Amino acid sequence: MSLETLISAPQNVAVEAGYLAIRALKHLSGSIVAPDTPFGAQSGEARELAERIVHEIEEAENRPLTDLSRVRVEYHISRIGEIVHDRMRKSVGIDAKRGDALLRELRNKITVPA
Amino acid sequence: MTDPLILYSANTWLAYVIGERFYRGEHYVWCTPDFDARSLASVDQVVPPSSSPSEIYRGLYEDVRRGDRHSAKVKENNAGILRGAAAKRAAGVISDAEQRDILSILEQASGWDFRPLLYVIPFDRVRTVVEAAPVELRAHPLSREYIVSRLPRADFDVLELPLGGP
Repeated sequence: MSLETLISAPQNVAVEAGYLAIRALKHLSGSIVAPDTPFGAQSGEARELAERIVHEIEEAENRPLTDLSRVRVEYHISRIGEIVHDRMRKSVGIDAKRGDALLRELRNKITVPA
Repeated sequence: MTDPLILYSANTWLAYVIGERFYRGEHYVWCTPDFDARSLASVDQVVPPSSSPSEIYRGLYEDVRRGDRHSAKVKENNAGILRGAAAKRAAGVISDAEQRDILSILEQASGWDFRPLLYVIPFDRVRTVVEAAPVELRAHPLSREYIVSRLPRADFDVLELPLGGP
């Protein structure tokens, strides 16, 4: 399964479609419903892409989403998550040193009550 | 059905600190009044145990305790944080640089940074802003699930259950 559409979609469409497809997989619902529309007109495009992703998974697995095993569900969730993360990494960019410094700051400054 | 008293939500430490640091202390949460579906009477057990805050917390905790940075639960949370950052950027809440900071944090985070936290939300504090989750997105059509898109830190408690360290 290539998930080529997820790789080539505009960034906000890809991140929203990945999120929606993961939710459908998690609940084995087979249907895509957006709880809100944070990306305006691109939200509709994302919903359509998420539906295509679910369809692509069902075709590759030769069964409906509702019949997938937990192992296969987790495989597809991981794969979609990796593609979306990679897309964001390439388009937004990262600064590893700054990421480490911010993590140190957050670990030290923001505490959770015991 | 009467309104619940308390809503519960299992989230990760990383999602929590990003909300505190970058989103003015506002948090996006899915929540339910049923902390542990198994504790309900059998006729009321409509939420699969795997979808209750109790089980989400324990499942995520087990994955991060094992150091499984690549577990599906961690990847799912990671995707939610990325989506949140992109949505906040699109809404103008954060800048390009802040979105890059969030991505840099995610890139460098360890498995333990994805450890679970439990949010305890008095329903009265969110009555006017809470929305019922779309039926198609719930773990079960009859389960009671809600979304609070911008939950201020002052309106909930955060608990880290004493299950032990890594």
